[in-house]
Amino acid sequence: MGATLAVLGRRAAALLGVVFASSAVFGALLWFTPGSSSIHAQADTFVGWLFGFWHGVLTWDLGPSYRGIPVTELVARGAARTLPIVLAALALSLGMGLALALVLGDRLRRLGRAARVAVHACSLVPVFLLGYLALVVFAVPPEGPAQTLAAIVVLAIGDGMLTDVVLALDAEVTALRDRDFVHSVRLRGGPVALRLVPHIALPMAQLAAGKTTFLIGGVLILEKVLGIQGIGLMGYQAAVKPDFVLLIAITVAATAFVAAVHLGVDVLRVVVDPRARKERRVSTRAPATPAPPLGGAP
Amino acid sequence: MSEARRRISPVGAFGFAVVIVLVGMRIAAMFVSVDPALPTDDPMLGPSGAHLLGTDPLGRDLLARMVVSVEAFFGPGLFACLVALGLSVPAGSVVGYWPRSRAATAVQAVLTIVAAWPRLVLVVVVVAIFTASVRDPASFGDLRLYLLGGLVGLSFVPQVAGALAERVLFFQREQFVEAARAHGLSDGRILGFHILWANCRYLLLRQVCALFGAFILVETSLSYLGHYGVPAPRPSWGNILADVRFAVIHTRTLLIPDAWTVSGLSEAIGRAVQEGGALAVAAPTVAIAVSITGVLALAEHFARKQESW
Repeated sequence: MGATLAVLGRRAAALLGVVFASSAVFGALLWFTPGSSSIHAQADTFVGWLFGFWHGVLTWDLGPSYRGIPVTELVARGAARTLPIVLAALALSLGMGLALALVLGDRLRRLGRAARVAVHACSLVPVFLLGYLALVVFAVPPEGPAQTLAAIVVLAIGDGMLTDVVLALDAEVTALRDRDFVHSVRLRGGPVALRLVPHIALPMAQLAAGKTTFLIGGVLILEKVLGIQGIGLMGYQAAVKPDFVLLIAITVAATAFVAAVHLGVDVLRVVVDPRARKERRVSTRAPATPAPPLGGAP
Repeated sequence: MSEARRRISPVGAFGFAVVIVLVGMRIAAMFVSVDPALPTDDPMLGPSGAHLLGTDPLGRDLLARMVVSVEAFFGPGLFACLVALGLSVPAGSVVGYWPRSRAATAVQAVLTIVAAWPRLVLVVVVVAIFTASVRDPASFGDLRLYLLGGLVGLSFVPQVAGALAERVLFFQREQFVEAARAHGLSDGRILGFHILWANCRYLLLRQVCALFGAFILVETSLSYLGHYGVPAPRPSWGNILADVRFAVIHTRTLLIPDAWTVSGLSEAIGRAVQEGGALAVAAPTVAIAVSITGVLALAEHFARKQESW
């Protein structure tokens, strides 16, 4: 138990370090940009500004945004709109990927090839194009559940998301099919797919963590196309205005969300896999994003 | 080389064909005589001898704009590949070849930080900073595109370096590397020639193709949204599509057939093409989807080559 907590503690500290380092890098970029007077008005030095920013984050007061609403309130409101969409899109993509990997790899081999090509062809269309088609062809309304549903489906499929998920899970399922326990289940006439699911839960979680960064990027574009008032659209508007404090707050919020998902996967990994508890240097040896599967899309 | 290795799969052939067409369009863009930024005829004309794909909502020749659009992502996309390779190869080599060194730990830490930044967020933040820091952003359009390329390349470094490090780590334990060391070959020669060139080049080619596809995606997305992509009136497949976003509602109306028969459908399609500017919507949509799919098909081809190596 102690070793488990120590591993998780080290990992959490490393991820907090990543969030802090991200804020420092983006803050430095903004600080040294000519014309970023709003930031220079807050402190005399960059280090002073950085500590002031984190003090503001911890006390939940980063001052007003360009809209006059407090930055923290605006980010919280945007995150409450965006993060459920991202998580739902992740769940939908993984669900579709798992279903396709389990079904296409087993009985429907012949149909599988055609279906795979169809999935990849749909999935490699950019998110903005799918959003655009959803708007003009299916006349998605500018607000309401239909808009949210359209955003979830587009994010779950577009920019190669579904392709990546299907390829990664298919590789996992294919590797598992040769294992003895699967042969044994098959000989007894049991449900092979059901026995495979627990074994791919961990790779799925790791894939989900890697894909969160990807989806946060996609949502930035999609919210602008569909007009969803989330952190993506707010970030884009903050960049256009420019409101640098809001922009860096959104960047830090996005990075923190990605780090939190990675930490969640680490917790799952330590709980499920006993070998992970003995890792002494998990934070430095394990990359934040797993290497992509062979044949995957960007 | 065996017959199986020389044979190109249909996926690979498709990828090569798309890349050849893109290179052809880039060369053709240098010889386009029509100014793609200036109106030459009435708006939203259907295809004709004078305008093979018709005209856009401002009366500009659509074919010329489609061809010249390749300039927007070709050079900056290659620059993105150069940046990614230039940073990933040393980083991946250090992490893979000297995994227990302090340099490897430091490189891993930097890669972890970069990997935590969502790609498009990084791009938008830095390009916003650049746009805010220059007085006339439109006159720095090319520089902004190359900055975009550099950032997309940078955002790919953790992915490419991670994949490369994994492979280098695998090969540096192989017997041929031990034999090379025993023969007195330097680490540079073993790493550069025997590992990177002989065993990792398909991996790098695959990653470069995936990166080029990602750059097309980022450039067209930002150009569609305006502000940070290709500044108007310069063409990009993204901003061509943005120009017709309102006309498409009219096109959709025209596409509804009077009767659900073959002749009714073909009449509706003909009407949408001639009067509704359907090609102005379809051409950039198909171009974006086919280019990205083609480049990724080539990446898949290299992935298979790597597996069969």
